[in-house]
Amino acid sequence: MNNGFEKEPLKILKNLMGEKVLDSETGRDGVGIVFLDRNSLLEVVKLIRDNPDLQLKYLSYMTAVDRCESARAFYVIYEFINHDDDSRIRLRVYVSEKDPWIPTITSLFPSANWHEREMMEMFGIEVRGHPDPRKLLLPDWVDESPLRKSFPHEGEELWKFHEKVIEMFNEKGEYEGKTDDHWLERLFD
Amino acid sequence: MAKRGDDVMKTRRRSEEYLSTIGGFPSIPGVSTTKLDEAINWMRKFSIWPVTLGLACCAIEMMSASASRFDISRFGSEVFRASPRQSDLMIVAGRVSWKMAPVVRQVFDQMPEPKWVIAMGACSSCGGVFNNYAIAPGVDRILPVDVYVPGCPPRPEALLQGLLLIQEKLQKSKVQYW
Repeated sequence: MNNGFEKEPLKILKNLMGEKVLDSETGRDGVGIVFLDRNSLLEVVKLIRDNPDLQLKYLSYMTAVDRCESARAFYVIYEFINHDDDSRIRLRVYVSEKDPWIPTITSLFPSANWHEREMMEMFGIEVRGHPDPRKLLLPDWVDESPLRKSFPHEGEELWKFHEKVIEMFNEKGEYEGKTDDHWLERLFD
Repeated sequence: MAKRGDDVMKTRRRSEEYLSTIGGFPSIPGVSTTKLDEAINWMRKFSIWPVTLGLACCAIEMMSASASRFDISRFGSEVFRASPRQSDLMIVAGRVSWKMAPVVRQVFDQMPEPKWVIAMGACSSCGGVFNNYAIAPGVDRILPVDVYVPGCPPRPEALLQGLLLIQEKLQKSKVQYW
């Protein structure tokens, strides 16, 4: 970490974007955090990638945070790094629980593809315009979003989830009496 | 008056007398009599070939069970086949995630009868330490399991005992197809 240099992109971005930056703060680790509306997300991401002063060309990570039932919202968090001078910035987009969707940034950062797929299945946030919106880690037949705080983490409730999955597994019957060709199709799909 | 069964008893007594004169049951070199079931099961139980299915850290113990120190080939099960078509035994070594469950089931379905399943370790027996959405709470939810081997992970000796239990079970079974 260099001394306070991470704050620089924040200042530049605020000057460039004006009112589209809803709010901003400096995180405890010294990285500038920008609060955005999801409608201006693509514009801002394009700017921080292409602007000659910013050049944050590497998507470090992307994730979501469930703000629980009190806030009835999720954060979607992006962090970008400029590997030339090690400056970084964090974008935070609020997504309401009632209407959980964000636009995809895969057109600008192809590496966001799998991050977005994981976020879709784990948090149930729809990523609009995603080129390949299949599930990444969960099996196809699971509909729940396990990383939401409302998902049960232990006890009877979790057991009910398992029972449901077992039922679906058996009901689907996809794995009984199928030929090898079927298996090969799945393998090379 | 002759009772029912007297003839049988007489015959038996006579044959016993005969046997005592010649010194016991005649043993013909190279010939033994037994039941067909037992003979076939006896052959089967020392050639149980497991399918290669290592899912997690239990697989390390499974591998060392087949290595020279523990030497699973003493019991005829050293041939880990890469194809389920050539296997009799499935050792589910490790936790089964829901994503992996269809694959495990598919491999099991591809194995020819007769076949047996060992759930090796706590995770494949009951879910183990994984109390979450991703791991199946026991592989017996998707497969018929014959022997559960406890441990986290079990020692190779424990796996070998599981194999011996399979052999015991196998020896008692009726041969239906051969």
